[in-house]
Amino acid sequence: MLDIKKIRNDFPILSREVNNKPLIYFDNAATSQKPISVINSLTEFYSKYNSNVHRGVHTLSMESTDLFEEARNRVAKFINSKNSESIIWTRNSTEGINLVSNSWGRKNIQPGDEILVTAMEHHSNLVPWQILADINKAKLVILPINNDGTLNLDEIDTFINSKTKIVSAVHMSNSLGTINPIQELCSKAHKVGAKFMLDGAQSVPHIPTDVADIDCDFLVFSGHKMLGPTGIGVLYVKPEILEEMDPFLTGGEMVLEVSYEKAKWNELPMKFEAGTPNIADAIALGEAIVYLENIGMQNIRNHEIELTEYALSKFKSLDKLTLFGPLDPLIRGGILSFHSEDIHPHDIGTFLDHEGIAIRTGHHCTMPLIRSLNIPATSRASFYIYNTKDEIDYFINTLGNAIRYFTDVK
Amino acid sequence: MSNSIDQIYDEIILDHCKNPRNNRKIHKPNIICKAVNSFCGDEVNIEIKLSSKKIITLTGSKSLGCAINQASSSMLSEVLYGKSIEEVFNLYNIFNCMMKENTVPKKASEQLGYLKNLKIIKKNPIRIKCCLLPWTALINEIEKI
Ligand SMILES: Cc1ncc(COP(=O)(O)O)c(C=O)c1O
Repeated sequence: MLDIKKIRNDFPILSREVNNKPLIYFDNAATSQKPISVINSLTEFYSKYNSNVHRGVHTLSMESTDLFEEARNRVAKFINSKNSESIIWTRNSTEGINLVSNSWGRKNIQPGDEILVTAMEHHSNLVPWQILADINKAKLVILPINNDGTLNLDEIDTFINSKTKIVSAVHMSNSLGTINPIQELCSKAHKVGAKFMLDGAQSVPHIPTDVADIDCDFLVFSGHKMLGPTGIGVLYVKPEILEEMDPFLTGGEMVLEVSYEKAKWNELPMKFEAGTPNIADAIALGEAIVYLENIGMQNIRNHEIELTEYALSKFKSLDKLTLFGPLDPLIRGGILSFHSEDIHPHDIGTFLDHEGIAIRTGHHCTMPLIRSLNIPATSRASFYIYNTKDEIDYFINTLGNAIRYFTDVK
Repeated sequence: MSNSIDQIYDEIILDHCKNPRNNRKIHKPNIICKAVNSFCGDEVNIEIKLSSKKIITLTGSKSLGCAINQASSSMLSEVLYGKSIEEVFNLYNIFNCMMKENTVPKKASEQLGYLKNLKIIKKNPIRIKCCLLPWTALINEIEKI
């Protein structure tokens, strides 16, 4: 059991009011709130250590480099990466996927090859592959889903075949909440000699992640969804692939030796980190990881299973709502996407906002998926460590009021 | 019901949303106005019949989407009745001014009638677009006349 009261006290924003009501923050899939230790880490860096990394011989530069590399080591340990060279700083998940599709992808995808993604991908794990397929004359193949929002694996051996060169899949869907059987996808990909890339934007913040165990070739995630600041993300790349990958962005920091004619790439992982990196935010992400580890990722997952189970049971009291995604909390994250025939999601969003509840409404950057459900948009509530059953009660109650408000005819 | 929400969806807006007026397709319309807002999936479909003197004599409005878009479409379909194209432009300018700027001269604002109720949507700026969608669809079409 988590001590939620204590956790909540660590998040200054949770004591503010919205429209004269206590804030209930259920938009964690979009971005999480930040504990005071992360916020303090940012001011501390700028007040005490601020300087560029890997460049100066002066004290500040050495100290900031140490803090920066320590944060990298923390990330490596957090996802059980054997070495920290495999951890490349990016701005976010989106940049990580673009790095892979541009660097590994352009070099290794041949005309006629197949790239497989699922029907529930975020635009960030779809559009870069569309472009790569277009440029390299490859075929982008979409793995379909079942009505319950799980992947349809009936013909998986046709979808992952000898032409498949990379499979890139979301671990936890940000629109449906579905947790996909990534282990199976990864081993199927490896069996045909394809690479496996995992979009961990929603999973890494909420469930224990072990890259050695999953055996994925690439993993991306975003700091801002896991208590860290915006503007910092991570790309993990398996060591043997890193060596043969070309840089994506070029310039300072990523070179070892430069003449007017050519350049020699810096060591890993700097080869992939052109320009001055986001130093303060990387260090603050390290603090966020310390915070998560102190609570324990399995405890976080258990808490969210409990909240999800509770919310799913409460949802049954609301008729006129369709809930998307699997109903088994063991294969679903704390993400509830729903729709009402009679009320547009934006009206629900506005109504709840007036009662202090923040949810997301829209297509959640999964337009093709939402279109396939034949609805314009969904409303989405998503939970994190600081959310409680009391908040869910208030949310369900308010949602009931919203439905009556918009559908009762005078 | 809490009071605060009634500051966004007042009685008139809710009434138009739940009971949209002129909710029909009309026979051989002279003007067909369509628009979509892909951000939220709002859709506007307004049809207009003009007399030989270019006066609006019949309207149909089948709009989909959020309450604000539906209410605004429904209200628009009512106020168009009996107006000339020129009067519609004039009304649009006043309405647009009310929704986007701060003050509308009192005399002009009287012409708005119950459209004034839509002003409360400005408290939620992200939804102003939903409210203006039927109007921009209409103006885009009648500008071509
Ligand atoms: C599943 C998934 N993938 C990728 C992303 C992209 O993350 P970012 O916007 O931080 O790059 C998101 C963010 O919403 C997501 O939910």
